[in-house]
Amino acid sequence: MFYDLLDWLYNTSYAEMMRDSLWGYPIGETVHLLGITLLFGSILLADLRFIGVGRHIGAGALTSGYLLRVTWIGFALIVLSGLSLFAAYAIDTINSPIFVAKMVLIAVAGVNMLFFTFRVTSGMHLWESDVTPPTAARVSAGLSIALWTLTIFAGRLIAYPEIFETAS
Amino acid sequence: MSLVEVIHNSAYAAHIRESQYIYPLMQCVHITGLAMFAGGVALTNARVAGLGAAVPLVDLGRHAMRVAWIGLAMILLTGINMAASFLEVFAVSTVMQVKLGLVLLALVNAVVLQRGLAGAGAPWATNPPDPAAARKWAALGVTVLLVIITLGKLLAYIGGKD
Repeated sequence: MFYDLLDWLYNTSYAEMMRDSLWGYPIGETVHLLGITLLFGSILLADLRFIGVGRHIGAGALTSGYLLRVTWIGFALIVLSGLSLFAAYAIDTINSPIFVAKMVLIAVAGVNMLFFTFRVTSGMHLWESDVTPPTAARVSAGLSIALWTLTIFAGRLIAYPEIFETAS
Repeated sequence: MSLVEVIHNSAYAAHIRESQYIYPLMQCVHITGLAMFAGGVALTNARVAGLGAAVPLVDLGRHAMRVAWIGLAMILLTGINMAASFLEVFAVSTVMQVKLGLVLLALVNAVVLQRGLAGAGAPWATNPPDPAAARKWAALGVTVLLVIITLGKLLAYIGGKD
């Protein structure tokens, strides 16, 4: 059932264009990279503030006032290009262990973000000046940096399936 | 033998080239550094141009540029090693030459931002640039970063190595 869906996706004319045209895949990859730059750059700056780097900066103004918008633009570019790249080689990609690992990393990072948003930020107005953020915030932000960095690594390594072939 | 050949054929370059892991892992670090440098510089440029006015320019700029410089170190360290490992390919690549020229422009951009922001008597702390006047420079800076990233990706397809 799931594979039928992927098979259909693979055979759409859009996926075929991504796969067979000269520019489809390179453009998809480039947009993906631009999205990564916006998403990771903005999240890293926000997470560093949540850890306590630059703690004199107003946390709300920095993160929800500026960075969050950039994060969402990056996210939109990544999802759009990511789905296009995935469709081009849907079956091969879903069978790649490092791709699956990347999806798990993103899911965990997403849960961590929800946890941060709904459990940690309630007293954020208290962080506005030189206050050390609560421990839960610092742990969650540190975890976020680690997870997104590993996501970038996993994404690049999808191009090297031979590394993850089990010696058998 | 030319210097390019000497470097390309050195044991060090061969070691990177022949390892299954080193080059891919350098790419991972290169991309992470790229996101930090381009992200930090672009966010500072955009703030100079007037976006995100809720956060003070000097606060945002110092925070972002600190990350950008660390990213640059990651980019250069891995970039030099990757280029060395396939130098005979990269040395004659027009895409690479244009990319490096634009990297110099991006560095000028970063240094200008740093000089406006750094130190106790930072010029922009008391006398920030007029956003309307800075807009075209900020747009140019962001465009340069965009083209660098595009050319970097293009190197995997034309006149370079994945």
